[in-house]
Amino acid sequence: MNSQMVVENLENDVRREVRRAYYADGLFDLVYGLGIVFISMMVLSEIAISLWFLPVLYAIVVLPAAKKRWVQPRVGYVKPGRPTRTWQGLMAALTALLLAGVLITALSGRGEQSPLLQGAYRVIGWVMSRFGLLIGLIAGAATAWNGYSLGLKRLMGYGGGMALAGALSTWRGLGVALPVHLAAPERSGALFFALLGLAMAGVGAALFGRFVREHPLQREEA
Amino acid sequence: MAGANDKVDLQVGLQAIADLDRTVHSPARLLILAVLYVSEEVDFGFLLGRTGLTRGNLSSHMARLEEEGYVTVQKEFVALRPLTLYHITRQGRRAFSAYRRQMLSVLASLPEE
Repeated sequence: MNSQMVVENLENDVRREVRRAYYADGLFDLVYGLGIVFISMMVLSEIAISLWFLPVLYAIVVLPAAKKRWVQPRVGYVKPGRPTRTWQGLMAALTALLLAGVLITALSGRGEQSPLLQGAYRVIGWVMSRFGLLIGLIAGAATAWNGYSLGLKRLMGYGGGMALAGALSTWRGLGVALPVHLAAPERSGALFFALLGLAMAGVGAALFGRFVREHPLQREEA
Repeated sequence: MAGANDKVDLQVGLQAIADLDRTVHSPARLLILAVLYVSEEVDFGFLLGRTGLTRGNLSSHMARLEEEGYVTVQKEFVALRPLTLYHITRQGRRAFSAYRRQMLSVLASLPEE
């Protein structure tokens, strides 16, 4: 490796180091694992879709607060910045695609007779009937890729777990097979995501316990 | 003619070295800026652990970066403990990117082994 490559890799190496430090204490696994459990419970309980964002909001608010409260006094606090430009570009392209779809549908102006609108309804119906599978595959692939790029095997495991939970969620017979009453049997696949969330929270709690033991509180302040 | 080209390259290289931002060029500040560049917010304790600097040394480097307008400081209390958070500014981000470009051109102008 020549010196030019060292300079070019500096940013990537530091980014990787910062992000690995962010996941090291286990709080991410604990908080997001519980978030997945909450969302799964809401899906199973037939709570309105518009409220499904609440557990995500909980995780976004709770994680930094927990890190500042318990991690910062021990090893310091860091919040990783924006992802790489490739990732930003990918997200921008996806958002633009979704917005274009919404805009085209909204501007079609021919009500339900519009073939475009009917096509959009078909797409939405197709997505909703495979919601668990699609979420599992997309979130699983993103999490596994994140784990692979950081060299964190447990994140790769979560990714595989999400994809598996998504695939299993398509099993329509589960609602009948379960010895408990579910409000909506077609949503019973969320149970697999709840189990995955519990496993993540368990791993996170164990990691956090070890982190607290290995890093006792410092007395001096900055 | 090859000699003339070498001279031109050397001049370009020397000019690039002369133009390097001295605030960023310090190894400690470069490492601090690199951490801040890839982070949304970083606290003093994290930088202390990652850079291996003493508290006094880190404080003086942070003060220099703040003076240059490359970082902003935010102080708050969490559970009665002081928390000093640093954020890189747009100017700091530009300075770090420019430094990296300049270093690459400097290294490109130097002879390989």
